[in-house]
Amino acid sequence: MATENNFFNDVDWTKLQQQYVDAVSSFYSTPTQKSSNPWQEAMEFWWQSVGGQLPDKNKTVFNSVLDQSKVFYSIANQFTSMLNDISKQPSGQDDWQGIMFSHLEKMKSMFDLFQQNSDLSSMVPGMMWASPMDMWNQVMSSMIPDESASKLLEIPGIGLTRDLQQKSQKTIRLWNDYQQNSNKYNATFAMLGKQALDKLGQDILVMAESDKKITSLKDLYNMWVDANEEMFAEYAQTEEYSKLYADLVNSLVRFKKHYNEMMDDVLKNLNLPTTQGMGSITKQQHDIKKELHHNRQAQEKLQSAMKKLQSELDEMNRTKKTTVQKKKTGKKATSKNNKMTKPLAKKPSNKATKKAAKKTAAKKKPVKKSK
Amino acid sequence: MNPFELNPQSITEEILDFNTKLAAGINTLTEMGEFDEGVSEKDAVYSEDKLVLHHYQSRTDKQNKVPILIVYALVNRPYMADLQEDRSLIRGLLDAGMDVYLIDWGYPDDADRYLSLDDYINGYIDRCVDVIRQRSKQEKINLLGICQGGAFSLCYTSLHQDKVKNLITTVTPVDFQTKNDMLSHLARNIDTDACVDALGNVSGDLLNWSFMMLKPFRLMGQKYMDLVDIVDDKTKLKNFLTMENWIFDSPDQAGEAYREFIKQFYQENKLVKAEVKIGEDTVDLGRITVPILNIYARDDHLVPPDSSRALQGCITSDDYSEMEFPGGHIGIYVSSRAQKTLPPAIADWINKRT
Repeated sequence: MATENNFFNDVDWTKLQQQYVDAVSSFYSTPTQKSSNPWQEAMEFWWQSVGGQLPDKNKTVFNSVLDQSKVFYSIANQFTSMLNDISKQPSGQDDWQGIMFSHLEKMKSMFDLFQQNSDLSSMVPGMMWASPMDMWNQVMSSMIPDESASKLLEIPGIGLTRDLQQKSQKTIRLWNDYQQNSNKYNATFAMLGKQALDKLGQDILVMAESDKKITSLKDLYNMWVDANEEMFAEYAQTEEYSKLYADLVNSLVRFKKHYNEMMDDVLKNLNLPTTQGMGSITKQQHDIKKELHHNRQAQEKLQSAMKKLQSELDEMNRTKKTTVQKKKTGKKATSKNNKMTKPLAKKPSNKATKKAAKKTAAKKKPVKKSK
Repeated sequence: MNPFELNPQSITEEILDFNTKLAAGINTLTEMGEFDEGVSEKDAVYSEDKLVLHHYQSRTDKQNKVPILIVYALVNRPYMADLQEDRSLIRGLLDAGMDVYLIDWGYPDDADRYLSLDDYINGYIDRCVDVIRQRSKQEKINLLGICQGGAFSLCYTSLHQDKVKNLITTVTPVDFQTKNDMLSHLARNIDTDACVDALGNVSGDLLNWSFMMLKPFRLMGQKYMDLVDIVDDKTKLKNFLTMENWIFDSPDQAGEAYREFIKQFYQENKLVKAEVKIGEDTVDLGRITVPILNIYARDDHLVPPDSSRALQGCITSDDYSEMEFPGGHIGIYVSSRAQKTLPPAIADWINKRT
């Protein structure tokens, strides 16, 4: 695109952006420093003044939008500079590929810087790659010790806490393990970020070959997201990534577990409730509750069985009554109709009734005595 | 040919346009109120600890007499099945004449640290099923499991088949180690014991991070850029924010249940091997003889179709049907296509069997 009459030849792009920032910031009467990304700076100014009016729930969403906007602005910066170089080629030359790959290489070198500094978010092209780790740090912030951790390590190892020094050393070792795994994870992401830039370059070449055009920054942004996602998906399926991910999580939880134990030691010596103690109580409470449920279930089963038995008994009694009544009615009817018919049930003799009454009385006697 | 059709003016215009939308967006965002957590009318009919059993009010004169109990996953909140008036599986089922119940697991806290799968399946679910059987005077009811809730429903049916009339599983993992199961791949080498021993309950945010790490750039970045394009459309913005609110509304996971689920299901893949232990019982899907409708999402990145479809090979039911939905794990409940197809298909399938 090395045309002679190119707008890039006449406009200082960075100056134009700075003018925009100055114009925006003039609303706020705040003096501004020359910035490497004036779009971003303008947005941050604006956000400082308007962000307060948003409800917290929506503010979180909007913060994520702003983070991505920064990525977008950084793409604008990077690619504007690249397009500027393409347009400034001497007349007759059209090595846009060479310029593009040289710019992509520059962007890749920032990932190398990251590997040394471990601060992904400060790298312009790496900001997209910063999101996963930023979120990880937010999620895990409660597990990552603050100043109190170092105070814990300063407690002298005397008396009952004589093994504290040994445990402190283990804490440091476990924390180092986590740091190393975290660095490895970041470094892998940086490597993938570089590969994604290569992929982006290749995708642009393919577009050029098939005569397709990139007409907006958003197109470029989307292509970069696709390239990142593709590179990540490919790597994420490997056993290496599964282990890398697990090492990151495992090393942090192992550290946290040991840290809890150390805290418990200190709390125990201070005669304060420990996590382990609270855990035991919760477990006991859970077991009691479970037993209660089992008992309640058993009780309900028994109650239902009793109810069933009772209804069977009631049914039997009803049947018996009906039968007796029928018999009585039948006897009367039969005796009326046919005096030769034998009775269906024998009426107990007076002698037998007296014997039974005597037995019951004998059984009741001791109860009365005990009273 | 140089493919870049960009110049300073077009870039400036694009960024100014972007900034204008961004600035306008903040006004629209301030006008958005709170979000409903479920839109259909319902009554709490039973509660225990953090759990609440909801019964939805009917929307038709005639109803199928056999109720459906929806068993949702422990991860995220169940109002995803009743997100908005026009995006609600529950409303669709009510409109199709179903009598719908749903278990809301609530937000487990430290007191729930030792809840196990036995407590969830043989305890909570079983007691909810009994409550519904008693209320409806039906010996057996229908179960509809969603995702992990589907796996729970399968376990429950295997152990309490006498109480289940029909079983519907939706986006339910069965084989946890299929080739393209990324979630399983990530979970494979995690030291689950250390996780639970260190954390007690496992943070919902940690799980969310794991889910988002399946597509980190789209889910943590690109979707927010795309939001700028719809920020002036209140309806679209409300849809986005309602979904966003749901995604980050992640309850913590009761420690012991998490330990058992990750180890037995994800790491050891015991469900397909008929080796899952729930309390003292062993879950054998081969025992299941009730009619099953297995619905899976073609583009599901959390539960790949193969994982769900493995169910057919594990059961002995003569009445097994599958339904493929052209969409993703969440789209199956909230997309407009889902509203038109899923509830009527489920209701039709149930009506033929009751």
